This record gives sequence, C-alpha cells and structure tokens, in this order.
Amino acid sequence: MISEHKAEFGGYKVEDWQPGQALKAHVLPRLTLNYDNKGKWSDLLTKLLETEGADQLNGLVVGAWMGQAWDVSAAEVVEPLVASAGKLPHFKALFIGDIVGEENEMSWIEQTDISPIFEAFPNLEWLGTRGSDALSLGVPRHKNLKGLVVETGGLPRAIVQAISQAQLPNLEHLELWLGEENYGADTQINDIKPLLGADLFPKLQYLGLRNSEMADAIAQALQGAPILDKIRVLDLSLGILGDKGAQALLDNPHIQKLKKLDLHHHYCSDEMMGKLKKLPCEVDVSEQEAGDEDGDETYRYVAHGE
Amino acid sequence: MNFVLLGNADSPRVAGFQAALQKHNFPPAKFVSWSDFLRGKIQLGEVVQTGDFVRIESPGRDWDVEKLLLQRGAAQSENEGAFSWISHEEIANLHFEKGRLWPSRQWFFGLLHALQETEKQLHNAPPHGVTHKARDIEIMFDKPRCQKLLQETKVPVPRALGIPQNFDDLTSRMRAAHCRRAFIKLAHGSSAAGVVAYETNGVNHRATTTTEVVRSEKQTRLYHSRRVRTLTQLDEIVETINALCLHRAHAEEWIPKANFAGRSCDLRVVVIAQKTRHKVARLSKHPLTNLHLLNERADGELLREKMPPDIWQSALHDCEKAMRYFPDSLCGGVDLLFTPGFRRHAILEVNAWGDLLQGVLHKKQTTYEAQISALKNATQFHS
Repeated sequence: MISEHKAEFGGYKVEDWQPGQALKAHVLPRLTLNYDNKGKWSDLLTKLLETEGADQLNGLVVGAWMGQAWDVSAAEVVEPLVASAGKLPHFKALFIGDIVGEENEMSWIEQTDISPIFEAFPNLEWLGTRGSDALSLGVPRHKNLKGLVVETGGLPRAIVQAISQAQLPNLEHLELWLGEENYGADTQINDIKPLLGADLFPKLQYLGLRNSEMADAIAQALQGAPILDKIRVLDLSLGILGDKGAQALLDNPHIQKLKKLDLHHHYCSDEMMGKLKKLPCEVDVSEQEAGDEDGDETYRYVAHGE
Repeated sequence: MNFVLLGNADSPRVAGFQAALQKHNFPPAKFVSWSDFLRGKIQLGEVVQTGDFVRIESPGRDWDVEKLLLQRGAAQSENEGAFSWISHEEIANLHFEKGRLWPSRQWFFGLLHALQETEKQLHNAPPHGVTHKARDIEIMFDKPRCQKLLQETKVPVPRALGIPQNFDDLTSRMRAAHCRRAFIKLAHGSSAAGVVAYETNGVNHRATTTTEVVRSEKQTRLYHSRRVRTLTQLDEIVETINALCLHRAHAEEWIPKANFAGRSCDLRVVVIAQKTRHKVARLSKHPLTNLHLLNERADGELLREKMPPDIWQSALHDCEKAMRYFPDSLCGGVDLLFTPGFRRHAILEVNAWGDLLQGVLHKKQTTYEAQISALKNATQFHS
C-alpha cells in the first residue's frame, strides 16, 4: 500500500494546495478533492487558475479527484486540464493520481486515456500517472518529454507495447511499475525486450522496471542488453528480485558500469546482498523482505500490489 | 488516599494501578474481583469506608467474568429479541475458545446490570468518591449513542451510517450517504474485535478485518484474530458483515488517515481530569490501527511537528471537549485522527478504559500515576 503523498516530482517540490492559498514559485501544488467535498475536482482547478501567479505554474500534481464518489474517472481531470492548457504556458510537470491507500486502492483508481495531454502541453517535460484501470497513453509522441512515470499495481501489456513504439526523442527517465498478475499485469518478458534496445530512447539515463513480479526474469533479460551502455541508473526496486536475478546481474559485465543499481525491496539472501554490495557502482539493497511461508509454498509480493 | 478497586485479579490494569499507588506512597487498594462481585460474594457497601475512592476497572479478558456478564444480560437480550443472545443453559455449558466473539449486545446488557448494582451497593456505603461514573461507562460502551452525543456537542466525528441490519442494508445506507468506504464495528465492542473496514467502487469490494466467520450446520461463530485479513470475495464480505450485524453493529464513514513514518496513523489521547495527557501515535500498514494488533507505536508528540500549531491545538481541544461530556469520569481514552496532510481532525471514539498504555509516560508518570495525581487536586470526584 502506498502511504505517502509525493514530496517531489520531476525535480520540483510538491505541496498541498487549497483554494485561498498563495502559489509558490517552482513548487507544484497538489489538488486533492477531500473525502467530504461534494464538488468536483475541476472546481479546484478553476480556483487555481484564478489565483495570482497561476500563469507561471511549472505544473501540478493531481491528488484524489473522486472524493467519496465512485464512477469518477480521471477523464474529469484530463478534460479540464486540456481545456486550460492555453492558460498554463510554463507547464512542465504533471502527475495524475497522487492517491494513497487510505484514500483509494491503487487498483481501483479509475484512470482514462491521458494521451490528449501530450498534444495539449507541448512544453511538458515530466508526466506521471498512478493506477492502471482504463489507463491509456495512446502511442506517446512528444518532443520535449524527459520523464515518463507509470505507477501501477498491475500494468497491462498493451501499455508496455505502446511505450515500445513511442516517439520520445528526449526521454531521459522511463519508470514503469509492472505490478502483479492478480492486478492486471499480463506483460510478458518478450514485451519488455524492445525497451532494452539502444535506439528507442537515445537519451535515456534512467530505466526503472519496478514493483515487478518478473524482476528475476528482467534481470536475466538484461544480459547483453544494449540499453545498459546508455543508462546510468538501473532501478529494479519494489519487486520480488531474488538470488536468481541478482546472480544474473552479477554475471553481467555491463552492470558494473552503472552509476547506480537500485534493488531495494527484494528477496535476496544475506550472502547475495554481500556480493551485490561489492559491485563497483552504488547499490541499494535495503528493505530485504522475507517471503510468506504457507505449507510448501513461499509467497513473494511486490511492494505495491493493490 | 485509600482506594477500593473492582477489577480482574490477573489484569495488568490492576497491577498498574496498584504500582501507581505504591509510587505515590499510598496503601494498596482494597481489591474486589469482578467475579466475587458478580457472584454476590462481596458487597461494595461493606468494603468501602469513609473517604475511600472507588475505581471500577475493566471486567474484560477474564473468561469466568465474561460468562457471568453474559448470564446477567440474558434476560434483557431475550426480551429485546433483536440481536444474538444465548440462554443461561448454553452459557453454563460454554467452554473457553480463544478469540471467540460472544454476543456483545448481551455482554453489554450484563455490564449495565452490573454497573447499576455497583451504584445500588455504593448508595448505602459511607461517604466516598468514585473515579468512573457508571452512566459514563454505559454511554462510552454504546458507540452509536456516544458518537451522537459528541456530534450534538459539536465535536467533529465521522458521519454515522446508523445500525445496519445486514450487508444489503449497509450498502444502501452507504449509497444514500454517498459514501464508498465505511467502518463497521460492534456497537459494544472493545479494541479491534469485530471491526471491518469496507470499501467498494460499485464493482469491486474489499474488506479489511480481524474477524473470522466459522460456519457449521448449527451456527455461525465469530472469532477475533490478531491476524488482519483482507477479503475481496463478495460472499465472504457479506457473511462477515451479516454476522457482525447480528451482534448490533455501528457503521460510520471511513475518513482517510494521515500518514506518519510511512504508515497510516491515528492517536490515542488519554484525557485525565479534563486535560489531555498521554498521547500515543498508532501506526499501521492497514486501515486498522489498534495497538494490540501488533501495530507500531510512536510518541504522539512527534505528530505535533507535522501540522500547523492551530490544527494540533484544536484537535487536543476537541479531545478535552469530548471528555467534558463526562465530567464525573476521571479518565477516558480518546481516539483522534487527522486526515492526509494533517488538514483536519476527527474524534473516533471515547474509551472508558482506554488508559492501558504500558510503558507510556507523560511528565514521567504512567496513566495510573497521573490519575492519582489529578485526583489529589480535583474535587468533583470526592463526594
């Protein structure tokens, strides 16, 4: 369960904002429709746009938009945002769905087709979303986007396939939370492989294939992957990486050239953690998890399933 | 000061209070066990001497006492006829089962009967003081009633959804109130026994609970477990909530809780002689924050820094305001939540015996030591 709201996104600080409050330069306001607010999220946006300095905003973070209502999808966010794009010329960063477990389950967040955002905000540099239900990115095409973050408890393969056809020439940071099969993760390792080539995102610096049940298979698929010559940070954190995947990383000479290898929240043994720590790059092996034993079976869970 | 203590012999509450008396250099309390009292072996009027204070402690967590209270509540439960109850014969044949939830409405009636008897016996006793008014314990152990009273005194509380008859009734109440998440609790339960956090998006359902339903041919049995379970199958959720409704359940909106140290959190605030004292933050990975579920705890004062001073002050003020409804009770444990981002607060419950916080000190005193200190200065408890 995700318990903390974002403190930063796309290099900007994030702070809660409510109508009546002043806007701060270089801070992304988070607009949350409170659980007992009977209005609409778009009312908050209207008030934001009326606030002094709104035309200078560098972006915003969309918190819970549903209040206590159900059947309210992110279309109620995307449509008014797209309609307001002309009033937001400096808009660089947008996160849709900074919603914690106490507000709504990640798997219940009703997303929508957010592809109109790409066209409406040509200067956008960072786009992030949470929740995979009804989520679509179209086939992303954007000249200036540097960071794309898709946080889910179960990412449908259609989205991975769409991203593997994306045209994002300036993308530096690609972060996908692949999630659990129980929550809609039907991506196969072959769907991931196109992302590991060198040509798709020529400027990529960070590749995050996080929160994944396939962490071991991904680690193995990285053997000989051209992307490793480009990126500086490989992030396989929040998943269920075990010794098998970790050994594949150790056996992969390209891993040693990374600046950072983030594996936190994993199921590796103490011995394997010792070996990983000896890699010449920075390695995060914090949050060692123990599987749930049930009879002969041991269950491993990603950090954020539902 | 001399005390008479009505409680259960093996209870850490009794041990904690006796230790506090020793710390204050007062003689140990004259102890009367609930089981002797309920069996009529001891009359409080004969034990209490002039100038004594009478402290009524929780009768909980004692199998013998549990059965005696169920016996006492049987007639009234049968008469009411609305909720689960068991007969004298059945009670006599019961054997202890760990975690079993017995008909809590009946237990509550038994408690009321017993509390009324303490008052009757004390009526004829020499002049003395009491630390917990029977009337206050009665209200605090009736969650729907307590919440309504707090709301009437303008203390912020979750919106009540009433007393659902069953799962269908609950969901129609939720729809009518535009509420997609609710807490269902035993109306007369204590701690996390018989609590369900239920949510729906109209298609999917999810319940987090400590309650397990075991169905046999003859009956449906409820158990309380420390293992918090998440149910996603509708039939399991319906069965659990239906079973709790048979015991008289209280439903209210589920207000999202603030986050602290990566956990959902709320606060237990002990109010003694109308002042907030001990504050414990209860941190949980799931929506149920009760301490005995092996949740983590933290010093409640650490939360102060997370919010503007006026929010903190107004929350503590409301804890005291809630206890002002119970001026004759020396102590109450108020459960307080803040919404995410610490924007607002609400009072969830007032617990008559919410002062068992082992190892938690305020101004170097345990909750029991602080109550004795307060009693020295507070005149309203002296008769």
